[in-house]
Amino acid sequence: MPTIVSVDDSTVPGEGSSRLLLLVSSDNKHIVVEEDIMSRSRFISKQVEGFEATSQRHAILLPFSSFVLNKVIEYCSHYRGYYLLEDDPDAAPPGRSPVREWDQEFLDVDRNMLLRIIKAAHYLEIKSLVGSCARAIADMIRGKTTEEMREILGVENDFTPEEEHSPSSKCTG
Amino acid sequence: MATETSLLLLPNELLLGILETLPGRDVLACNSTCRHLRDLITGSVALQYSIELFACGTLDGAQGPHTVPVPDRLDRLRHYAAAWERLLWTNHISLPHVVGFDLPLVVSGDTLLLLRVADLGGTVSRVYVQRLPSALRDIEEHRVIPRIPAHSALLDFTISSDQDLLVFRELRDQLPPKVHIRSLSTGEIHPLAGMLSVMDAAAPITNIHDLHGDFLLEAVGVIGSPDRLHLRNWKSGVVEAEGMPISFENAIFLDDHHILSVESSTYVLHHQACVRVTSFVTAKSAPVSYVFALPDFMRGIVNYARPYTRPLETTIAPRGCFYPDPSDRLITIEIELFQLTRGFAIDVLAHTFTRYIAAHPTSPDNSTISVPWHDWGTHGARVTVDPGVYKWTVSGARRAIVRCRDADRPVATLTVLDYSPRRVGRAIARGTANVLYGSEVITDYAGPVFGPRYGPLRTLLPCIATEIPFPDDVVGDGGEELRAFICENGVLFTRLGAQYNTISEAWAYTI
Repeated sequence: MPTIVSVDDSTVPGEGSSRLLLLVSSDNKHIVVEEDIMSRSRFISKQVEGFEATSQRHAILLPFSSFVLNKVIEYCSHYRGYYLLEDDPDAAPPGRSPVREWDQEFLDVDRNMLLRIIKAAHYLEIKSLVGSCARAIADMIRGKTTEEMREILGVENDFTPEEEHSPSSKCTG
Repeated sequence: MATETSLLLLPNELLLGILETLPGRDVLACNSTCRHLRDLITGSVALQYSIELFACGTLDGAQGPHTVPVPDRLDRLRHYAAAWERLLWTNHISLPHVVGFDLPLVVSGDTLLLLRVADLGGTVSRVYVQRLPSALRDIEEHRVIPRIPAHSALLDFTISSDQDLLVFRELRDQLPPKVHIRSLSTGEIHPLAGMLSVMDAAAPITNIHDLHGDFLLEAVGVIGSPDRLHLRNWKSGVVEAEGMPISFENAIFLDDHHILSVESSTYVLHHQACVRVTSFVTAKSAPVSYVFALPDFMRGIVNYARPYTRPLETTIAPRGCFYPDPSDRLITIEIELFQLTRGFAIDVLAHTFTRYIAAHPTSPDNSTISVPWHDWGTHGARVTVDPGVYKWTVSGARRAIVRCRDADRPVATLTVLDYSPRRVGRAIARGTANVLYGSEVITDYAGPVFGPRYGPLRTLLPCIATEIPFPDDVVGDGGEELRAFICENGVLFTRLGAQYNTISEAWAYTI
């Protein structure tokens, strides 16, 4: 559970749909962002609903760095006002859809960054970003051999030799 | 142990999300990376289904409002795969409507096309389209008798079950041939064939060889001696590539960008038969060829090449939960030596050609690459010599043969050989089926007639062999008049009547 720090209401001014939110990253950076932008995040939306119920607004503490948070905010700003099927909680889960072109460029980062973004997106419950990251990671290992996959995924072979050569693990074709 | 930036630090939910976007081949490779991923994959029905699709050489079918839940699909797929390995039929249907027609002319996917010829001149009086049902794939039986122009010579029947397409050519007096583009399920004009009139081209079409995606592969020129190929978009009627020279009797699409033809010359004795794969990209760039030499003992005439194929691309969603992978195809080239009555055949997987081409790209400087027989690839080819060579039918990577086992005590059997490398690989791993390795190396085939033996001929195409006998009451006459036509949903059996090639009885076993 995130810690919610009570802050003075005056630090978060704003009205209507362009009210501001104060997000605090794990490296203790304070980032002010319009509520509207972050509405794609189910996590933030639930927080905001909580604020309205209690008429109290807080800073929202997030367990990842400002570097990652800014990246996520960049994503949310780009799709501000756009309808994305994956982010509609009432819509049926979509089938396989092509990766959006902008997302591909946006996620052209190294593996560590990609992993941080997907974790942040998962935490913030931004399904469209999780989906795009998942496909970007999948693209890195597509068509690779098992050995290459271990390298890319950063996992070690922990099978006993018997397990490794069992028929069920054989990849043909 | 996982390293600091390991993917394994992600929550399982995210890992599953990543794995689910991968095709079956890659899921299977991930399965061997480490225990954690293997446990995750083992625990997910969706991922098991994905692996099973890959291992069975199948693809996922249409997704829609009636989509069958994944656990049910996995269940069906396993039953389907097991049923084919043992030929355990789920259904037996009688097909009285087929009686009186000639033997099936074309098979595509789950659909067979039959003709009834009215007179000795070959005028087609009726066309019959039969789709075999599949209980496990949830496909119903369907048949249609398309209306056809009366008293016309109709030729070049080509079908595509995935695209719901029936194409044939009508010869007309004083006019260029007309190409009919119909829907296979209704027999009426295909809804996407909007520009039918354009097909009445100035250059007469002498043959329609194949159909693939949006394209018809046509030979054009003087009737009886075509001089070039056209790739015509059947939706728009526009010729999008042309000019490839013709020196073959039959041609098919190998994939989106390659045409396979078997060429022969009756004048030269050596290396006169070859398989040519021609790439076409645009009409402007010169075609690039790969010439796959046939073994040099094949000095005879290529009587006909009948590569059994089905189109690679699906432009409409196929029916059923899953369907066979169209790239998993067996191409059969039948050859008859001109001084011997025996025929023989070469079986090559489409993969063999496509892999070779992918590994050996050509530049415009070397527009023809010659590949000796020995280098056809690791999956090689299989050569068979069989007096019953004309009783084969092929669907995907499967072949069906009706054999008469014993001349004294005639008992006919159906043999199904499955060459799909993935299904064979799995059968070897699990030990569930009878796998034949390339044991049929023919050492003296050329014999004294053609002098020295051929070189180290490879027959590296292992297959799953399944054989079942026919019931005694079915065999009766020794099975010589029985024919089996395999398709992706089962096998259609026919018994020939008194009239040559006319069916007197037909039934089907389906899966």
